[in-house]
Amino acid sequence: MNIFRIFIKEMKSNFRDSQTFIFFLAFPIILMTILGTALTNAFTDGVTIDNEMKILYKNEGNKELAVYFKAFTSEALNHGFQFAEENNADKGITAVKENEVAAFIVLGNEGVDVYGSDINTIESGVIQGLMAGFANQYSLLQQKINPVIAEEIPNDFILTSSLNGKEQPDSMDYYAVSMAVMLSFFSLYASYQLFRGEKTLKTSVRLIAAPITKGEVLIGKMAGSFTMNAFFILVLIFFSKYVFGAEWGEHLWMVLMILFSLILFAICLGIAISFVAKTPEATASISIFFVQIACFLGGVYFPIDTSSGSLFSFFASFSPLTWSNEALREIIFAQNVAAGYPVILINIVIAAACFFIAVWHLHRQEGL
Amino acid sequence: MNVLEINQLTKKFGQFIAVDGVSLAIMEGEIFGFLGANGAGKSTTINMIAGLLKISKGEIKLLGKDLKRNSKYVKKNIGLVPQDIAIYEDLTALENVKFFAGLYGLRGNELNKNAIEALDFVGLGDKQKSYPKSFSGGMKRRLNIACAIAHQPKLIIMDEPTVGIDPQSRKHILESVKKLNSNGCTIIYTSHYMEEVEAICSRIAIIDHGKVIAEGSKEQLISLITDAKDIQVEVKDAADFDLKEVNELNGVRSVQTEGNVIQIYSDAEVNNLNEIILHFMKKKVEIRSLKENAPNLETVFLTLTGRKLRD
Repeated sequence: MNIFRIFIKEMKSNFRDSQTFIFFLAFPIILMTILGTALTNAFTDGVTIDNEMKILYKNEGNKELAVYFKAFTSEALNHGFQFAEENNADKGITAVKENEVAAFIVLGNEGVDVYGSDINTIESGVIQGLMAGFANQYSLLQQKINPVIAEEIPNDFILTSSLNGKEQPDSMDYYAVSMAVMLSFFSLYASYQLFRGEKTLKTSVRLIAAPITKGEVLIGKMAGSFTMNAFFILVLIFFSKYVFGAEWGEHLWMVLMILFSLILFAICLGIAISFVAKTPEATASISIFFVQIACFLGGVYFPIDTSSGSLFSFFASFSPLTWSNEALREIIFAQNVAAGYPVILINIVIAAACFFIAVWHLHRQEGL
Repeated sequence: MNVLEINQLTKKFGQFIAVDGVSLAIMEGEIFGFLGANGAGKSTTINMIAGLLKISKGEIKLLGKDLKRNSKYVKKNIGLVPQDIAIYEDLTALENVKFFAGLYGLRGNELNKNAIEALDFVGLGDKQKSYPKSFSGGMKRRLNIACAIAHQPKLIIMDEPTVGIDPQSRKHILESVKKLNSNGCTIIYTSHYMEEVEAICSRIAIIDHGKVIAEGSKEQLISLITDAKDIQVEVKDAADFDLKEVNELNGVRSVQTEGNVIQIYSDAEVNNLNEIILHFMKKKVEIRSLKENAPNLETVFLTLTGRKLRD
């Protein structure tokens, strides 16, 4: 009951603060509008592919598929797609990572795996489209020859085992996801104040003097902060979907799970920082630094190619926003729901570690 | 019946001993004054009673129950009015009182009724739906009290509840304290204003360097220093006056100035008034008035601790 009381109090305080709405809602929406509009061309128009695209493939399917694919590649060559066989999968994937080829494709009776370069490369989207076309044609051909087999071919033939192949998101799609991720991580700003705020207001004295436990205060405050941030995320998602037409895919529950796990991560991290840092100024500085660097590296403001192998991309891969962003795009644009589970797990594990740091400090110190 | 018993209470911060073996018993229905200069250990003692600080050694019992073993019970029966105003600016007055009283286990109609009564009690009954940001300092202080009394505790701890407020609000608060006491509450009251403590407290403890150095009623404390007298000399200009020389006069224990008033504490049995006057004349300091006061709590405090309460 005490947890509920503290939760309700947190909700009242948060929703009565106009600055909270400006910071947590207006700011991401405005940023999404500006960036999404200003960078439209960077995502959609004005891109030409001058050189031939090299694609490696490995055929693990039946003979029939091999024959048909051979014919398909001959036709594709006329359009600038140069296919070469590579039976060693490791070599094929390495060639993609090192940007020697645009993609590595594994053909199988169950589906087509496309090991493409990062989402931000145009080639990946083009090859995705090409292979989708192949899948459709192959499906139709099978229907003509053997209708029974055609029915057995799954609808997501091209997508089931695709790793990096995606529909190409437009700028508004990109920034809708980025802003949602950024907003989730902004929870850190709200959470580092949860206990510092009580100290500033001197109300921590009353909370400690009351017959409640520090744990109840911690959980109540975290629940309040989580609910507020989750609410803002939902508003942002629906706003971007219905006002800007942003794509959120068919697995919204999984998208929300990732974003909520990121909120939990940020809240626990913020609380841990507020306990570890000695002064309110240090807490604020560390939190601001952490959020801004994570946003920057996480591709919130502009897309970052994490597979380029550069030092920058190396650091970018450590940003929780990077892995959350990438997982969300996998789910939204490649229907790859499984990409979400490891990210949720990582977010929750780090949140748990931060939570235990906070609990340890809270238990050790006198007062809040 | 003792509401609160403190035995050999000690608090250490590293090597520093802030409270050193304090023992006290506070009886039901008392207004117990806690006097001590800054850093004397008074707030640390109060914070241990309220459960804000852990006890290094000793024990605190409320209504016979040990704080360490029955923390929830003890806390439930204590109301704390902190020295700093501790309220939420984004909650209305009623919401503030209800939130804090709710943490003490009050629910539903009882919570609502008690919260409204607490606001009425401190004279904020008509401000239930107002936000504290629109309140004066005195009103905030009163809301600070309401938040501590709505759950109807047996013991109320008031730590400097009248700091920085206007005389009207101070009067209201002091009357509220008396009224709470007449309703059956036991109160621990600390203040830097000696006159407040003299006016409302039935018993007083003087704490210095972490120890209780005197305890009793006002009269009992004053009777401890029958060997001292308090001489006040008002001069035209005390700015460059050398207090050290006065301190060396026969029988003088200590000298302090407050504006142009020089306060001399001296042995009661030494007749040194003439000597003091002569010294002022010799130094060509114009005397405006001179009076010998009967000992009061201020005298007692100064005599026992060697410093003024507000030092």
